[in-house]
Amino acid sequence: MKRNGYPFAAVCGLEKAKEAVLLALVNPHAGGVLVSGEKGTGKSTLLRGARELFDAPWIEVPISVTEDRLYGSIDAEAAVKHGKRQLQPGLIDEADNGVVYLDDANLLRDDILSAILNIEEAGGYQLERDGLSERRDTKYTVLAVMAPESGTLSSSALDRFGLFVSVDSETDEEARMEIVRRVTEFEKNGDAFRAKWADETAWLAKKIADARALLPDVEVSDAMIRLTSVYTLKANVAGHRADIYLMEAARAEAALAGRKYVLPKDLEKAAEFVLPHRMRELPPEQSPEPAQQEQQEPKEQQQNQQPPENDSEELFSMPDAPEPDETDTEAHEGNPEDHREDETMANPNAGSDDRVDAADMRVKLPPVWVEPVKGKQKRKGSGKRSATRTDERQGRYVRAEIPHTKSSDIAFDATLRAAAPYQKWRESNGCALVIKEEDIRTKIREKRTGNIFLFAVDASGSMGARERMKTVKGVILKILLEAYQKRDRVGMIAFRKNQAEVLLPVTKSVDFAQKKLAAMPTGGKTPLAKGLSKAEDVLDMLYRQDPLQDPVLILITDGHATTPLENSSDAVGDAMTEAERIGKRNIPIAVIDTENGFVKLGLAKKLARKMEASYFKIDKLSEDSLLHIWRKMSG
Amino acid sequence: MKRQGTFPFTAIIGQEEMKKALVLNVVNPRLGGVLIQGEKGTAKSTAVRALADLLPPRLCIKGCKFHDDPNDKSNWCDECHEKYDNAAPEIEELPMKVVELPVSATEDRVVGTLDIEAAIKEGKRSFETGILADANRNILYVDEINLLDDHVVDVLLDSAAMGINTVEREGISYSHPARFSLVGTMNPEEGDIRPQLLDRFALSVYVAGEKDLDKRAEVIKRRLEYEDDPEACIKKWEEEQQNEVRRIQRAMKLLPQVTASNEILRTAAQISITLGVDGHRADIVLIKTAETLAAVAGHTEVTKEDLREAAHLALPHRMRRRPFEEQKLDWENVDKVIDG
Repeated sequence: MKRNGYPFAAVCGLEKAKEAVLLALVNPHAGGVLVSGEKGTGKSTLLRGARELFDAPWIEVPISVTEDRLYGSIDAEAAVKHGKRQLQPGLIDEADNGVVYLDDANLLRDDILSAILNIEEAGGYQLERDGLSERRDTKYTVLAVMAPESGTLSSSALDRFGLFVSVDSETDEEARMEIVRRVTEFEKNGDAFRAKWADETAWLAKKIADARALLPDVEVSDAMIRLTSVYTLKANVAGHRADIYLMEAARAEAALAGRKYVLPKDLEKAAEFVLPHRMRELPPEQSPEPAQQEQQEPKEQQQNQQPPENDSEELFSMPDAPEPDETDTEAHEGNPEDHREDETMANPNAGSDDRVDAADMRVKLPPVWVEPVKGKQKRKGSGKRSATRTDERQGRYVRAEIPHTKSSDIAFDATLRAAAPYQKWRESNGCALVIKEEDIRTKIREKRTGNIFLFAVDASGSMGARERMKTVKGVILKILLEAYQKRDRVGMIAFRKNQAEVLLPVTKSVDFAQKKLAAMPTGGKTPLAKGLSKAEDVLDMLYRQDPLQDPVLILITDGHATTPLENSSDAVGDAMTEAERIGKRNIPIAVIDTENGFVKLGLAKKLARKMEASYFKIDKLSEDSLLHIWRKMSG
Repeated sequence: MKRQGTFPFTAIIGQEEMKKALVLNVVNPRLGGVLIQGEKGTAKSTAVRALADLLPPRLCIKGCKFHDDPNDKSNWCDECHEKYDNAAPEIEELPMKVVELPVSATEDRVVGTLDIEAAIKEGKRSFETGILADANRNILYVDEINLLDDHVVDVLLDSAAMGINTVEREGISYSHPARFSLVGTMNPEEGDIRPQLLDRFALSVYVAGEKDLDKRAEVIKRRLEYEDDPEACIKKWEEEQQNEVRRIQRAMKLLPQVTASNEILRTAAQISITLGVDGHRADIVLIKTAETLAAVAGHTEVTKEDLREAAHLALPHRMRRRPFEEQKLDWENVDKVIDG
């Protein structure tokens, strides 16, 4: 369809984004542009407007794209009519020498986004589909837009974009008025508005064309190459992509200025786009201390000391060195009696003075969160199905395959492609197409379900002590914030006094969860075993609802169980038994240990071991990279 | 099956803001839709469905699957361009429609898919249009929009943003105009709506059950009357309905002449700056809403009161909010800005 969109030149402000787009269009080797910014800033309008500045293929990859259209597949029509195996080129093929535009790049499926970026870098790909085997060469420029509030990109995807611009809305009154004036004028009479801006558009298009023509002659002196490296070293970027992008962007700057040589100011300007999304703060030689986290691994591995890894990605899947047991050393300091009085003794009589603590938002989270279940058997009865693949007819159609069982969810396009080459030889029954059973393909659908986080929170008196609940609420709130962005579902169980209750049934309304959390009182004894058994009830219910759901249990407690189950007197023993039972479920579990003070009983740690859970100490919960955690978990 | 009549729009008691917001979207199809939030049983869906009876006819190109506007060449589909770029199109008059998108709809039905019949019979690869094609130049209604599958929301956002549905799937490569007024209803207790989708709605209204005893009784009475004998009830409100249609048509005619002064534009910008809303959509929607309100009220110059009313409809869901913060709109501040 022809698009008579809002002209690029008529977009107010967004000067940096405009400059970046020009650079990318002038020099395809500059690695494309990613524009990030809050909704309603005009970033999509601007990038879509760039289409008119550049006489080349412009391919938009919609979020609903299927693989056959992206990579290309057999031309079924030609196959039926002429019995020829012929390629219907995919989008990335059609984009050769042009632009691939991604609106909401962060909503695209990860595999599709990385394919688009990887193929761009490699300049081609090997197509192996529907009996076709071909090498396809294609070179395009990626222009993309994202709104960070709906999720971010992985650092490796970010790194593949040469240029990055973050945009904001105008705060100047006059500028805002002008925006409204122009937009309403455009909406009232688009053609007239476009005509008004036609000269500007033509001027920009010429500027790009001229710069493109000049680009092959733009040379980079050795001094400028050295300066490039100075910039990238200073920014402490990973790898060498940045150097290449920076140099190419600087060449584009020079070409736009009509020069055949690169000046330091070109590099300086280009660096603004090339470096911001790659800069790292830490020097890379030391990995951050992985000590806050301890994983429960098979015994023999636990003895196995491993050196800390440099690559932070690796941190997540690698069993790290056993943490130095600081609890022991601390235990010798201070007075044990004090501790008992302060912590344990406070519990029994705390029942009367319930308190409600506010959440402490200053808490920081550790770089590692819950270890996804791996190498273990999946939960009972769930078989080999992956959590994101659905057998229902819902979800996004991802690809087609030969059915293993009888299926009603037929992928007609794939079936057609499978049947097409044989039509010439099949006996016709009046239809143009004869389909045999062996042609049938079914749809593989994928549903982004989001995770379920079930919190079991110890709300007993000991948690209220020393305002610890503030920290706990802060931690939960941080997790909820992530859940909010990822559309995860959360549920919450609180246990205190003599009972465990479902404070919040599993819901999508994270807002609601926050309200419940804010109002959660603390006080009373610790019926830890009851809390765990309640958690099991909820997990059972979730499993009955949908065996494909993958809940994550997060237990927050100091482990000081004081109330046993009915007909029992061993509070701690009961808790351990329940913990062991939950451990058998093979779901990801995290235990956050809130125990503090000088003497530590280490009960929560034991509990974690029983449950084969990841274990964290709340006072060690320090700095950041929540995103990594989440990506790893949602992976 | 004969389509059953619907409860007359004008017979709905109270819920003035909701009714107003819906009518504004009919008067100005480019306004950008409305989100209606409220508890169960507050006539949300009834009102949206009843709106169908008030929708005025508009000119369409005959036989076009997307009911293209003969006078809006820049938003024609490829077929219309091919056929009528050098020839006058045949024109027909069709009423605007309320096209419903059920929560259970699959992505392929929403965006369109491969035409199986054409494939089998003729071995041809052609495109079978989906709901978005139907929705072009119409009202797209999603009940319980907060329960819509994420990937359906994604495609909805995509076409809502650019007014074009791009299909690249199942061997099909196709794009067509998809400009629609998005109307959603939801019960906030059942889950949040994605911020991005929320932002796409020009207006938002909250509805609650009627608190007034007499009015409640009247609600029951009218409902019973309707259920007793729908035809008689529809007849009884016929005149009222006709009046409303005329009002809408008058406003539509007036709308192109409505202008907003510099002072009004400045005030709108000040409101957005004061409230710290995200992006520029708030300013734009404020002005468009105020203009439409002016047209409905029958004047050609946007007044402060139009702007005030527009603010109440267009701003509540746009406050820059961190998740979990109570969303409060400081109306006093807004009034202060408007009254200078």
